[in-house]
Amino acid sequence: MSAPAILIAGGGMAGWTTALALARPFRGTGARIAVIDTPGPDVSLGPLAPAIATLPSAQDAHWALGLPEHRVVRAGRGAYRLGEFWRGWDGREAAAFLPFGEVGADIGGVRFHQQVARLQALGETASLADHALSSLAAAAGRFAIPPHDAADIRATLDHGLHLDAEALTGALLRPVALAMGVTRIEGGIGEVELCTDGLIAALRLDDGRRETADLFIDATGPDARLIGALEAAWEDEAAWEDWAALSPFDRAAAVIRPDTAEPAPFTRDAAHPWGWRRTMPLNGARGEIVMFASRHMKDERASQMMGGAEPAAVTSGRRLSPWTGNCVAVGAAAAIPDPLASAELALVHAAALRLARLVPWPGGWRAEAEEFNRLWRHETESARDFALLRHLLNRRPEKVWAAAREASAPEPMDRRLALFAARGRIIRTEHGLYDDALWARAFIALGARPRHHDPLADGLDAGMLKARSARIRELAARAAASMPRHGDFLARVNAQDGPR
Amino acid sequence: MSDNSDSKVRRVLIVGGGTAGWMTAAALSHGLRGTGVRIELVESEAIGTVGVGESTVPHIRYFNQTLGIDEAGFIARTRATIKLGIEFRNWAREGDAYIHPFGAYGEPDGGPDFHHQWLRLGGPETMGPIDQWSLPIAMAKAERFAPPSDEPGALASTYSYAYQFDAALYARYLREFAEARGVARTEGRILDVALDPETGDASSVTLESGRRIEADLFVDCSGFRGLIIEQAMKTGYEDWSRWLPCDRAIAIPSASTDALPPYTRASATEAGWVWRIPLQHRVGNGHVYASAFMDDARAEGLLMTALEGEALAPPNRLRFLAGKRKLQWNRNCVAIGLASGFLEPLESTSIHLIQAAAGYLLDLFPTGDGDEAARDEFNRTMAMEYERVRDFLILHYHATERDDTPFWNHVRTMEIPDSLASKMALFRERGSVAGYEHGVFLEPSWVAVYLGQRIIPARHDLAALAVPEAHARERARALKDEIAALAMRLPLHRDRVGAPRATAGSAA
Ligand SMILES: Cc1cc2nc3c(=O)[nH]c(=O)nc-3n(C[C@H](O)[C@H](O)[C@H](O)COP(=O)(O)OP(=O)(O)OC[C@H]3O[C@@H](n4cnc5c(N)ncnc54)[C@H](O)[C@@H]3O)c2cc1C
Repeated sequence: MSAPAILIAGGGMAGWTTALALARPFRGTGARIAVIDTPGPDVSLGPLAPAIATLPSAQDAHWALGLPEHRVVRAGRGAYRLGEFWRGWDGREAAAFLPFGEVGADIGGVRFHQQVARLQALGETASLADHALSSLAAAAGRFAIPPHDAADIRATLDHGLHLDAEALTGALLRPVALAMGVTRIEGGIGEVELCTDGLIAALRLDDGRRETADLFIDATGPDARLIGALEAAWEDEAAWEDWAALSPFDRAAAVIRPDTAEPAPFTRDAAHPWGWRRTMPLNGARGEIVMFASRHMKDERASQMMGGAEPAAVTSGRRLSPWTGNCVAVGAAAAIPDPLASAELALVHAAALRLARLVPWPGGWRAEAEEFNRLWRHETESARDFALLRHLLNRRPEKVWAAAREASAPEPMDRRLALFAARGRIIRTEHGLYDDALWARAFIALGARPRHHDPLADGLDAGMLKARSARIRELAARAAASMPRHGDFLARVNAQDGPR
Repeated sequence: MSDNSDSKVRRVLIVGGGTAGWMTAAALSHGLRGTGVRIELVESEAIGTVGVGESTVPHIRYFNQTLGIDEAGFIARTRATIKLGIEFRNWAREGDAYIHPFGAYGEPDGGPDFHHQWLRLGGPETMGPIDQWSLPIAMAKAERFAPPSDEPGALASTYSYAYQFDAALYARYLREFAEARGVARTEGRILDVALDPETGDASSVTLESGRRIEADLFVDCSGFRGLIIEQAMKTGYEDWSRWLPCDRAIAIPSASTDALPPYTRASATEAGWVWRIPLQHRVGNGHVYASAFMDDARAEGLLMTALEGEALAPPNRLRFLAGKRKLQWNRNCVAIGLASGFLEPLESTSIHLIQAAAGYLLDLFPTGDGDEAARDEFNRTMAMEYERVRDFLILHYHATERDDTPFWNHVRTMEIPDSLASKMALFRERGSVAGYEHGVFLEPSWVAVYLGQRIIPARHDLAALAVPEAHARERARALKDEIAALAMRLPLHRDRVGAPRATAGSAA
C-alpha cells in the first residue's frame, strides 16, 4: 500500500491550512506532505485579504483542524465579530445589523422573522434585529461565548472572527503543521513540468531543485501557477469564470493599520457614493478594504483613504473545476469571492477538509475530482450570491449603484429574490455557506419587504406573539448588559495560556 | 410591510381519503389552525383506497411528533410494529441476504467511516459481512428493540427506527385527528371537475349527489387517476419505467407466525420482488413485478408460495407506471400521494414523499397573489426528492450480478441516469459516498445498499491507515462482540409493542 506524496505550492494561509487539514488524518499513514514556502507577502487568499472576516462555521473548521479557537484568536491578532453593521445601502445612512447566531425562536414551522413580520403588519414597531441579543451586545461593545445551557438567551449567540492572515499563519498554522510532520521547502516556484496527458509531473524551484508528488495543491494565489499551467491542456475544464459583470466596482485596496482603540465586536460595512468600505477590528489594529468604481474615484484618493495602500483591479470569480487532473487549487487560485461575502477562509476550510476525505490513490482522481468540484460549485455560488445581495437590493441614488442594482441575477439568485419578495422565504439550496435564517436577516437588513408574510403566522395568537416578542427583547437587553466588554474579553483570552 | 389581509386562499379541498388525503388533512389542519382557512375532504367508499402502503422510513416519527401524536397510543391503534431496516434477499446474487439498517456501521470515532476500516482490514473475505458491525441489524435479527439512546457518541445512539402499520387504521386515526381540528369530511363520488375557462385554475368539483364544492386550493389525493392534476388539467407524466420496469403488484395479507421481526423483507424474484411486512395482527405480503417479463399467473403463484401463514383475503391486483407528474403543483392544484407520481415501495418511500409534500405545501402555503415563486420552489424541491429516491431504487436493480433471467439482464445492462452513475463510480473507486443535504437516504443508507449489492470498493479512504492495523483489527473484533452482546440485552420486540403471541397457522 503506497501512501501518497502531496506537494502544496504556496506557503500562505491557504497552503498551510490545507497542509494541516491533510496532516492530521494522514498522520501515521506514511503520506508525505510538503509545502513550498515562498518568501514574500501572502496572497494565497487574494490581494484583498491581509485581514479577513470569518463566518461562524470557522469554529467547527478550526476544531476539525485541531486548532483551539482561543489560540487562533491570539496568534491571528484576532477579535470576535457578532455580526455586521451595514450602513448606507438603503441610501439613507441608516445602519442595519446582520446578527449571527439565532434570533428569537420558530413556532412550529413559522420562522421567527415571519412572526416579526406579522407583528409589524399588526402595527408593532420592533424590528427583527431588536430581538437579537447579538445586535444589542454589539452596539454596546460587549461579547460572550455562548454557554451550554440552551435555556440561557446567551446560547443564541454565535460569532466569526477578524484575523490577520499572515500573523496567524506564521504564529500558528505553520508551526502546528510542522510539528505534525509536514515538510517545509523554502524557495520560489519556477517551471511547472507537465506530462503529455496533462498531469503535472514535477515542480521546478527557482534554484533548480525538482519536486515530484502524486497530488499537487495550488495555493499560489491569483497567479494560480499550477492550475493556470494546466489551462492550456484542459481548456474549459480548468478555466476561470469571471464575475466582473456582476459588479460595477472594478478597483480595490486592502490594508492593516495600527489601531489602539478597543476593537468593536462586529464588522462595519459602509456604502459610499463611489463604492463601499469594510472595517475589521483586530487586536491593536484594524483591517480595511475599499472597493470602488474607477469612474467615480481616483486611485490616489483611495490610496490616501487607505494609508497609502495601492488599489488594483478587482478580479473576483472562480474556477468551476479547481480539481483538474492531479492538481487541486485552493484559496485565490480557485476562487476570489467579493470580500462582502466573508467567504475566503470558509472556502479554503471547506475545500481542504473535503480534500482530506478524497485524497486519491496514486493514479486515480476522476471520481474524486467530480465530487469535489460539484460541492465546490454550490459553495462558491452561495458566496457569489451573498455578496451580490447587497448590490442588487441597494437603494442608493448614484448611477454606479443603480448599475449595481440592475445587474441580472444569475440562477439560483433570481429564484431566491423572487421567493423572498413574494413571501419572505428562502429557497432550498445545498452546500451553501450561509444558513436560511442568515439569508432572511440579510434581506431584511437591506430593507426588503415581502408582499406577504407566511400565512401560517396569521394562525398564531397575536397576544401570545406580542408577549413573546416583548419577553425576548427584555431578556436580550438584560443579557447584553451583563456581558463583558469585548476588549476585556480579548484581554483575558490573550493573557491566558491554557484554554479558557 | 407585508400584508396578508387580502389572501385569497380561504377554502382548501382535499380530494381523496387514502393515506395521502388524511395525512395531508392532518398536517394542514394542524399547521393552519387559527388562520380561518377551511378544509374539506371528499372521499368515496365506493371507489375505496389502494389498500397497501404499510412500511415506512424513520421520518414518519417526526410527522407524528409534530402533530403531537402519542407513540404508544399510535402503535396500539394502528397495530404497528417497529422497523429497523429492510432485509434484501437474492438481489445481487441468488442466495444473498443483507439488511439495509436505519443506522451507520461501527461507532463514531472521528476517523473515516467504519466501512473504510472494514475494507482496509480485508473486506468481506477476511472480515465477513459488515452486518456484524450494525447494532440495528443485530437487533433486527434477534427480534429485539429499545429506542435509541440520546447520549451522543454512545453505541446505542447510532440507529433510528420506523414503523410498519395497518394503513387503513392509520388513515382512520388521522381522520379522527383532522376532524377534531375542523376538517369537514364529505362522502361521495366526484363526477366532474370544473376549470376556470380563463385561468385554467380548478374552480369546483361536482359530486354524484349533485352538490358542487368550490375551493381556492385543491389538493389532489385521488390516487393513481389524478382526478384534477391529470384528468382535468392534463399536466403530463414523466415516465421512468426505462429504469424501473416493474409495473404491477399483487398484494395479500396472511396470518401471523411465531416470529415478529422488526424489519421488512424484500426478496427478489425472477422479474420483481416479494415483500413481507409483519404487523401485530397479520402479515402484509405482495409481489411487485414487471409485466413485460412475467405474467400475472406466475407472479401470483410465486407470491402464494412465499406466504408463511394462511391467506386472509383475496389478492388485490394493482397496476402502475414509475415516474412523476411533470408538475406536482400546477395552477391551484397540488398533487400529493399516488396522484403525484409513483416509485415502487422497495424502500418504503411513498409515505415519506406524502409527508414531505404536505410539509412543503404548508411551508409555501399560497396566498392567491404571486404564488408562482412558491409553486416553482415546491416543484423543484419535490422533483429533487423524487429523483433522489429514484436513483437509490435503480441502484438495487442495476448493481447486480444476476444473469439468470431476461429481467435481470435488462436491469443489469441498462443505461442509468448520470446522477447515479457518478455516485456509483465514486463508491466503486474508493468507498466514498457522494454527499447531499436533502433527501430521504443519507450516506449510511447508500453504504449499506452499495455493499449489500456487492459493490465492493477497489480502495478505501487512505486516512484509514492512520490507525495501526493490529489496533484497528482488535477494535473491530471487540466492537463486534459489544454489538452482539448489547443487542441480546434489549427487550423482545414482541413485548415492546405489546403484540399478542400468535399460534402458527391462525390469525392473531
Ligand atoms: C403495491 C404497493 C405497495 C406499496 N407499499 C408501500 C409501502 O410499503 N410504504 C409506503 O410508504 N408506500 C407504499 N405504497 C404507496 C402507498 O400505498 C401510497 O402512497 C399511499 O397509500 C397513498 O395512496 P393515496 O392516498 O395517494 O391513494 P389511494 O389510497 O388510492 O386513495 C385515493 C382516494 O381518492 C378517493 N377518490 C378517488 N377518485 C375519487 C372520486 N372520483 N371521487 C371521490 N373520491 C375519489 C378514493 O376514494 C380514495 O379515498 C405502496 C403502493 C403500492 C401500489
